[in-house]
Amino acid sequence: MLDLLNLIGKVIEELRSSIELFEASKHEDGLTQLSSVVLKIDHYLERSDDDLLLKLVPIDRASLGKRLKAVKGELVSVIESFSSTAP
Amino acid sequence: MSEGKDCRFATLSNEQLIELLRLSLKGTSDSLYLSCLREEIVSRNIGLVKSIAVGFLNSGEPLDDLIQAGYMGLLNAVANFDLARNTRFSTYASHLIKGEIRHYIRDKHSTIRIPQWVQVMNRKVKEAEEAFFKEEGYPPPIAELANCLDISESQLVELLRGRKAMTYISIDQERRSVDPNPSSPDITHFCSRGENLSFDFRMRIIIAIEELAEIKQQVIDGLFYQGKSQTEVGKELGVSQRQVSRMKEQILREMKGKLAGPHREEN
Repeated sequence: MLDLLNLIGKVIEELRSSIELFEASKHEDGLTQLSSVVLKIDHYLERSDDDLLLKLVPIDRASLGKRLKAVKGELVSVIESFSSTAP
Repeated sequence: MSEGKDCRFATLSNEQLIELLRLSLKGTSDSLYLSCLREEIVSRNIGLVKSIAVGFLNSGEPLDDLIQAGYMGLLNAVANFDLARNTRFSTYASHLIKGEIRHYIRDKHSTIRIPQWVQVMNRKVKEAEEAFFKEEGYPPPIAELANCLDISESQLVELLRGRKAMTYISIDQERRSVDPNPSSPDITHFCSRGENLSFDFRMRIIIAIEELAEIKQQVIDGLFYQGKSQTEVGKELGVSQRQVSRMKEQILREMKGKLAGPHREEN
């Protein structure tokens, strides 16, 4: 089980990497990277109740869930828009 | 107001009517009399409310709403007018009516109020984007756009972050007001021809990164600076203080590993 800090660390790395891939015209790889981020966030959201780290911090879980879903939604929208316009 | 003016009060001034209202409130006047008295004061001054409200039409709010807000100011003026101050009622009422209308406008616009400089910069960014796109056939990379605007890349990124947070509605409004045939606000308008990541896509990914980094910071703050002892946290979680300590140590080790770089990361 990925804890929240680990998830964010990995996801940020992948997002940075996706930008580099797009910049290098590796669109397929960039999209794969973004999709991987979306899957990771989804996977975490499904299992966040088991994240012990969240029990250690005074964080509003509902609000956290909303923020992660918003990030995911934005990335899905980028994937969809990019897929529909890429040559 | 439905009954029109009451001739009993026709010869009295505003100030005299208000004094009469005060005396009546203290005495035993019936409610119908009081109601007539109030209506007379309001009907005499409703023209004042309308004329003041008209002066605020450039706020974009409907006249009826402005009058409604001004009417509240008039009622306050009736309730609070102090005869001892030797001021005309109309002067006092005007002040309160304007105040209520200003409050109303401020409340309505507080969520979409945008600093002037952001509006100016947004317009410049839009013009530069369009000019570049027209000339080159693809949207400008950040460096190019920053160059066109004569600002640094980091300033431009900051500006775009602000634009996203504050001005989606406003930009559309501005565009609608000047463009008789506005194009769709779809971000694909500025999509790249394929060589580079489009400007908008890049910004959206960067904003996602920033949002995640902010969550991460909150978690770290909560973890190490919440002011609770490990024993207290342990009680809340139903685990021992020692287990809490181990969890925190493990998290710290992982963070340290990441800070040291991937080649030195321990697992």
